Amino acid sequence: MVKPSAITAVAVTCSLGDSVTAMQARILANQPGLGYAHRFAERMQAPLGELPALRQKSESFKEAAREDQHFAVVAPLIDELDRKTGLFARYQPHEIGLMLGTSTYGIETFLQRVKPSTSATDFYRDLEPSSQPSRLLGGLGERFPIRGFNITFSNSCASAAVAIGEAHRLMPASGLKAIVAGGVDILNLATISGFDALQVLDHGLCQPFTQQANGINLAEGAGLFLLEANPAAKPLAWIKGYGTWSEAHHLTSPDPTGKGMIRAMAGALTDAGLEASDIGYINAHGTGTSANDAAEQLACRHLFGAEIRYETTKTWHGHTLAAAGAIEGALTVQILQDLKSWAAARGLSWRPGQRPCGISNSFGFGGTFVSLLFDKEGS
Amino acid sequence: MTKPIFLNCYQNVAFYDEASLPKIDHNLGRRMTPLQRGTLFAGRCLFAKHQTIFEEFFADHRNVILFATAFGEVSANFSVIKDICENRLPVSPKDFQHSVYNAALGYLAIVEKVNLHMIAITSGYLSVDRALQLSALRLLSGTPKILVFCADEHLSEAATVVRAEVFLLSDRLLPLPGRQFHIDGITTGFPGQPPNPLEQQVFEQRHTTANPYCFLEPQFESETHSRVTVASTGEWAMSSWTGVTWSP
Repeated sequence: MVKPSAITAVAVTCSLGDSVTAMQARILANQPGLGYAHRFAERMQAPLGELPALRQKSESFKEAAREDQHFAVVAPLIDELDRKTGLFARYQPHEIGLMLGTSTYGIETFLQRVKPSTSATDFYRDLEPSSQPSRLLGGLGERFPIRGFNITFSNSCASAAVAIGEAHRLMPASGLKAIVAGGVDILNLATISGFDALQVLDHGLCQPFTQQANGINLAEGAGLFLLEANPAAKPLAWIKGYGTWSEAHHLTSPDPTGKGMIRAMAGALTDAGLEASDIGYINAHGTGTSANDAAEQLACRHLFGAEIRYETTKTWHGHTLAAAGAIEGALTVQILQDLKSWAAARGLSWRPGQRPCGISNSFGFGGTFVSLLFDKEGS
Repeated sequence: MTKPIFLNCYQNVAFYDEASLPKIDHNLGRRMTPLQRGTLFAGRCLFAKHQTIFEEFFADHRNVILFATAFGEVSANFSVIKDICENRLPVSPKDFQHSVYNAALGYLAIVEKVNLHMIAITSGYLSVDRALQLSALRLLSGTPKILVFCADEHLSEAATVVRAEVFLLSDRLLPLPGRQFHIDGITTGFPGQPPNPLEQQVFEQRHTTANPYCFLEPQFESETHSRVTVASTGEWAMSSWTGVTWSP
């Protein structure tokens, strides 16, 4: 078992709002952040979870794409972590690390530059550092006093979960005193067109885990965790488990029996030294595709029994792709602050004395399955 | 580093045209990109050389596989973006699902029937060095062994189509013939003056664009070696190595 990692702050932004409390309030009020009036509306008639800030910047995706939005979205979140915790006043730059996950950084640069006359040779020759996902960390390193170990993960829709899990796993050996870990993805025409070509988009509002489920609503956003080796104040929660599995079944579809998902969640439990009965809440990957949802329901029931302690919040904020693990993980941490009230409001099972522990699942292309286990009470 | 870290074995491959890329799997091979085929072929070459070591490696679920690439699936990405640019919709679903950075890992798992934790990273010109650094941290954190793939596609007709290298890292010398390497140190830094290397093996992105790999150069003939890699952003990485041989 790895020493639990203290989560001292989280920061998120997505179509549901700029804080986990705002996200909670809109979920309880049944106000999805998904809609049809977005900057891609001239090319895509399906609902998307667009960041309000990007919508305000421009009416069209072409205008919004003129400058990279990943940095513009993540930087305020780091500012927020600093405001909440005094991060940069308490640590030297070399004591702070940065580990992010993304799958869309750089794609907009390609879309801007490729013309009908562009050959493969031209395209490759013109590849430059500004289109590499690691450039995002470079830019953040120039803006903020973060000089510790930094790295970019790209495990598709599990990227942020991997970033947070690896930060948790590596914190003791790294010598770092704080790590900013999370993920960001910004919608672009290539990503939207790609998922549309796979025929997995719901052209209505997505309804995962229901009989009406008909696919995904894509979304964008960012989420960050601040992990500290020696927190000065009581943490929000602790990362206690990081379970992973490579399913080796199919590049984009999970095994219908859910066995890979079971292995990831069981791995998180083992890592944390906990039993299934210790888990009071599961934020499922729950995208709305029949393949994922059926398998994940089987997996949850196999491990946690017939009581419904799992739900997906993608119904309200959509699938934020690489950022999902951070946004939904942060929401899980927030929910654990008063799990009893949340379970009552959402019609989930809750037992008196239930330990405030939760799991957040993130599953990505390539058969990458990641489960993060959070415990409000720590050791 | 408080624990020794060793590079136990390695393999590198380079292909100069797509026709020479080996078929990997009867059913899947024709679907794979050059990057995926080159990556899996490098792995297979290494696995075949040290079968016992890798049977044990794949059986221990504490082990990790890491994939590092500077630009990822360039050909698949270009295909998707060109389709959009020329308004040929829908885009190819095959190209889209192949365009993610960790697609090669997905195929590695499927073809070799491996369920180990697999991580894909990208760090531009410093991708290999970051992979070494992440691997070192992982080993120091208790992971017994890490298999590291570094691979990139190149779309220029005059250059290689794909280069890939794979190496095994662990916290001990393994009973293998030939030279292994003790990694004496790995450091990275932000723009500024990097430390002087022990030898003059310096890679700078302003001189070369291809991501510098570890084993496609002849420098490992010497007993000790260090390399410095400097990206055009000014970020740098330095690692130093010493050749060692296992003896019973």
